[in-house]
Amino acid sequence: MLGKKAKEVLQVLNEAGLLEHIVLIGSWCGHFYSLYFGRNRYRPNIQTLDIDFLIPEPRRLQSGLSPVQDLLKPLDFDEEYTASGWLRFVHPELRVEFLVPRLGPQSDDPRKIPQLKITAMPLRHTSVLTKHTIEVEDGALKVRVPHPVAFALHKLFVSGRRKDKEKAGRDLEMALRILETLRNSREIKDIFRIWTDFTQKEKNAIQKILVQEGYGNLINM
Amino acid sequence: MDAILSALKEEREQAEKLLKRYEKEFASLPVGTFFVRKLRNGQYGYITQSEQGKVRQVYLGKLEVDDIAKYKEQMARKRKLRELMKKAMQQKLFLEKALRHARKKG
Repeated sequence: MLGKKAKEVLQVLNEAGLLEHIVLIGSWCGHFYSLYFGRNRYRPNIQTLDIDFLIPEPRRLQSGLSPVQDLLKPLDFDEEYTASGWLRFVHPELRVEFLVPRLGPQSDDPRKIPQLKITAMPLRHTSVLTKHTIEVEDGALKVRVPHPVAFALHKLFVSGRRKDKEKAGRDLEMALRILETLRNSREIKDIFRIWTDFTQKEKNAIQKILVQEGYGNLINM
Repeated sequence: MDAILSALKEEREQAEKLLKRYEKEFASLPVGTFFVRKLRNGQYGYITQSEQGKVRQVYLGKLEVDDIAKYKEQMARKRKLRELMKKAMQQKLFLEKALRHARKKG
């Protein structure tokens, strides 16, 4: 279920016209997948208090958008710069973070988004998440999330790269839950279309985990 | 269960960190309650403090409008921080309880 604070955040971002420019990623997608598949088919297991938004094309953001701080301050969020230099917004019930795709051999330095007056964290291997998205309605809210196939396969890839074994375990668990739901749904046909957009390096890593976890036959690669 | 335990531990650490941050900021703000006395020749600021059951007023001197606004802002922030600290503490206690429960089950 969408918590009160998360709902408030999504509402203010929606009213400010920002929600249409960003993709929700991370564990909160689980809530929207349960709406998409139906709660009897998919139930998210773990939802952390981080709500992550990916800005697919920061350069294309129009000017005149409200600074994020102005939107979140009335909801009692405080700004916090991480040790790596990117900005997040903290509240006891939720942490809001913004990320941007890290494309090519650029630096890992935080990226300033002047239109929103934030410094976002660059994240690698996100092109599939932003290329294949779906829009899920929750009441008056329309939230863009990665296609569940893209999300699950990406989570598998991430789980294999994590140094933190516990986080890797959570990624893997979430990915497998979604794959299990997908296995018996019509959306599974999208796997071939989405698979082609992963890089060979990503494909190799995902394929290895799929085989390990007994999902090797999911896609005949 | 491992995934739940690790998520709970991580969230408890975050709650503790946030609580410390709020407490640090709270400690940096003036102790007591600010008020202004308006006299014919200006506005004079005071802070009421309570120490070991004794109440005393600290005289801040004649204040300009900007100074008054700054003190009022600090007092409003203190009120907000009290509210946030309460929420962060509740969150921390809830997470500790959930962790104990998860460990028992695990």
